Amino acid sequence: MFDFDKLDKVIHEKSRLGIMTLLATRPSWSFQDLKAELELSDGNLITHLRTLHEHGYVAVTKEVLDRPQTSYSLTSKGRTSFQDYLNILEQIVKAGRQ
Amino acid sequence: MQTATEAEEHLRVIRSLMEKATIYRAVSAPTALAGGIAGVIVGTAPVQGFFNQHFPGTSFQIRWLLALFVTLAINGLLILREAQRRGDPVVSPGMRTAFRALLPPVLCGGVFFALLPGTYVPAFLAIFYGLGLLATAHFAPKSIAWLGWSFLVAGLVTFIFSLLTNRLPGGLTPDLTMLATFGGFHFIYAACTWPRRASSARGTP
Repeated sequence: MFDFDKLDKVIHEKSRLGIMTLLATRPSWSFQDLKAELELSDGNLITHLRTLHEHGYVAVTKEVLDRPQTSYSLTSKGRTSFQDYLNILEQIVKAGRQ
Repeated sequence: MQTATEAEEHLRVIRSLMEKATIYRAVSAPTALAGGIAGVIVGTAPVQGFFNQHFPGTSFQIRWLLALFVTLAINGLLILREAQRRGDPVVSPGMRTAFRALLPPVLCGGVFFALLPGTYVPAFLAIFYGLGLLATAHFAPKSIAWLGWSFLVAGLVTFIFSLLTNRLPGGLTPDLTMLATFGGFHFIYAACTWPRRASSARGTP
């Protein structure tokens, strides 16, 4: 029987899983792009990003280009945790097929 | 998370989000520039004269196929170099998706290119190339969609004009029409997307 407690509960929440997935696809994402892609409200997105940042999974960069912009990227800890999370999901799937 | 089915569903959602988020540019600015230059070269009088002499009757097709192969070869080298720089596989999932989207219209364009008389070739090539680019629009940057629409509209206008008057718009030859569309549009595309490309490269850690 598989130990489901191994799953990272921080990443496992649906919206945070979406954020982590998108951040894994590119070097960085702007707040607006994340919001548009995930169709989350500003408040919801900020809350989840803050949680991920507090756990050391997400790095925040604030810069002023044409206008102030905040972008987010995965830290190496975040990338490793996401990869571990994916591996565990795959193990669950494999275990279910046996 | 209680069952393998739920885990599968999570993995499916992750995969779908990743595919949606991965933007693939089927035509890069350097490739467009190379295509434009190759078009200008094969369309010039001395090159035309050389091919007319050695390949009478098929000079037009051979010259433009040559331009296509040179452009594809340069594109292949650029993709290879970029993949090596990033440490990614050369045939990426994005490339496979783009290839699947491009194949049907490109196949049709190839058949029309081989079988139609010269007057209609530029129009049909532009139409099918435009359709091909538009087929990649859901995972490509907006500039690709603009390029696709430009080719599609130019191809349709050229075709309707050719059908009604039995000649090409502005009294152009098939070569000059190819130069104006495949050469001109690619030059414009390269000029418009190159600055963005440079700035995004500077921003990449």
